[in-house]
Amino acid sequence: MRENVIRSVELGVVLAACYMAAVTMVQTTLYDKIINMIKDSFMGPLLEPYMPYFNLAVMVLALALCFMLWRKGDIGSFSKLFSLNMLMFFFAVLDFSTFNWVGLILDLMPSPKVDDRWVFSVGLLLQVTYLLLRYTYRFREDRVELLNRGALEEDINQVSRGQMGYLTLIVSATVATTATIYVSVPYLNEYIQQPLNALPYFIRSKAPVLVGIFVILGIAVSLILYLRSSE
Amino acid sequence: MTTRTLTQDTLELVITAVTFLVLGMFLGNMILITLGLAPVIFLTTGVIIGQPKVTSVERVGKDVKVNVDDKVRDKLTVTIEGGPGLVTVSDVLPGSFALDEGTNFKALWKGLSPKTVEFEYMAVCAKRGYFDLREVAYEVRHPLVISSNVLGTLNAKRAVVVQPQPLFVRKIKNHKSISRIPMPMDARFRFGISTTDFREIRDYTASDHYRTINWKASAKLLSVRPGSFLVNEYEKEGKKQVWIFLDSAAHMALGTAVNNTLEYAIRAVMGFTNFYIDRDCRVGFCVYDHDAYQWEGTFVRKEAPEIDESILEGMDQIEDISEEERTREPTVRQKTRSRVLFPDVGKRQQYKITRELLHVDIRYSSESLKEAVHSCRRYIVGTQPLFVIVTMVEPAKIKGVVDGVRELHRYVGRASTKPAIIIFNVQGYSIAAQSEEEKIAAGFLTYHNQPYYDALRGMGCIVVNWDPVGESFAQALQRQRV
Repeated sequence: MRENVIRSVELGVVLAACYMAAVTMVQTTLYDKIINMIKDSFMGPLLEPYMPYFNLAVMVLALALCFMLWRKGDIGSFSKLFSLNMLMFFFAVLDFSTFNWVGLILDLMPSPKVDDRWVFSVGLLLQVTYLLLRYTYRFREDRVELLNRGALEEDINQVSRGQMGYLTLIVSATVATTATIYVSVPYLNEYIQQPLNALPYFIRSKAPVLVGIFVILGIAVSLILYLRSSE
Repeated sequence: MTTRTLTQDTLELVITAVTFLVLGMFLGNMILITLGLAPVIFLTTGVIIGQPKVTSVERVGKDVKVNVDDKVRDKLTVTIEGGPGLVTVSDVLPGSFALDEGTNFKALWKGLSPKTVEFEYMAVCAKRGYFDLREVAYEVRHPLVISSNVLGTLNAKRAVVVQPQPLFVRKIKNHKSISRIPMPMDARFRFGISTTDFREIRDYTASDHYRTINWKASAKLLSVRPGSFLVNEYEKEGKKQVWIFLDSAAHMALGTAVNNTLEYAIRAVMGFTNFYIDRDCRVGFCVYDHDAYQWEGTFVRKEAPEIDESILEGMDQIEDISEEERTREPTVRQKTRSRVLFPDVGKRQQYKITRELLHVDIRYSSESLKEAVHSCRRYIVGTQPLFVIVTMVEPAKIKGVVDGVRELHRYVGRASTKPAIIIFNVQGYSIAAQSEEEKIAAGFLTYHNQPYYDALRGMGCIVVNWDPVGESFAQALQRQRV
């Protein structure tokens, strides 16, 4: 697999993630609120003729920014790209949050035009993009390094092919597992509802926090065990 | 067994996961919490699948002995097990080997199943020496860089002995009749049983037996020089002897790492060795370092004299002596490395000299020419060998050569006979010269050396100049005709 193929894959993923994040953003309550605030401001009459194209302009702008960052192709640009996508995604996240702090401040009632599975899918796409770009950049670095060390072009292409195949496999497994967890949570909730109701209220009321703490502790313990094990 | 470390990539992914989880907890958002699990699942899958492990390397090539500029071929088979990942294998070649065909570095992708890879190459051995191609280095990388790269070596031993290309001088026939170079016809033992081969008539000296007096010749001389006798001198039994001295000083490195003055000097030594050993001579070999002359030698006091500090009492110390200076160890002279192969005959000696030449490098010896002659004196005294000094004559270095030649005069011959010394001057300037301007400069420098050649000739030496770029070794010797 040649470098231009890797770059093409990167471009495809970048544009898809950016487009999805932008499309999701323009369908959120907070975005609507911001648009309304612009309309009500002194710029409103000036922008009035162009408002039907505003959403399109935002998406095109986001895509153009993403394309520019992709062109740079370094790890710093990819980090900025991820931040930009997450910023757009954050609008949608707020609509499905139990504690919508921004909504409370701006006095918003969540009325998203997309459902939670859509938002989750977009979020997963952003995560996949983040993981893919991190490693495709590394694979490109590996290519340059191997070339400088005197490896044959044919061998390098074969290595890149293997790396991309492996990455696709691992990312697919991650997507499948994460999606399974998300989809199965409501059903699991039904099963554990009964035993959880038996718990005192002050524990039940802080269940998300407690679960989160347990998960983070679990990650920390796993890391320590991993580091203490030998190869 | 190596302990695991947390790479930057792993750490960043863990931080991302924790950030999502904390943000999800803060906002009470199930989507973010689930998304935070994605990097963890990604890492876990990578850890479970694992990374490759290089288990064995086999080398097809066997130990081989080749000449300089010959080619060696090799083939390696690498077996890799474990999980998928990038593996690089390299057969580390010595710096003087030039890859001619194939590759000695292989990068490959190890899939899920075990893999066996072969790669081969052909390399040109540009410099003499003994090369041990023992280690095959490999590097294993986890595809997700979860763990650190594993660097290792596996043994696949192979020795390559690259001999210097000998410069044959077989074409020179009847050299004694056409050349001024004293081939060791005269280099016989002075002590030993006299043969019946008449050598010369000379003046009677105190130690001569009266039986050797040539009465007839003495009677004829009586009218001219009354009271003096002449004696017959016969050749003594024993092998002819040749001593070859090779300079390994820093100035012999003139040129490139592969093609320098020392390399040509070594070839010349090989040529002389082969030539004389083929003619049944006893050949001795010694490596010296001209630059060793610049510091203390055998005859110079090796240790600093002890000063009686009582005589300094009452004198004021102008500068304080620091603690560091007080505790500093006195400079100790390095142990002298004598590189001498004493004279012997036959193929065995030829092999010994060749083997020694494989290891010769710049600063190989730590003795100057004078010291080297001094080290060999027990084998020189009593013989009249031919000395061949292979060096590069330079104005700045002439004193060391002159001192060495004087030392040879001390140990060899009677007052009436001078030692036979060839100074074989390898003209390194032309080796180093690349452009036309540099070649002209090399010519000037060579011309500038002429007075020094004359000075050496004045001491009874035969200076043979050899421009390795412009002429062959045999041509350089033939040029010395009368």
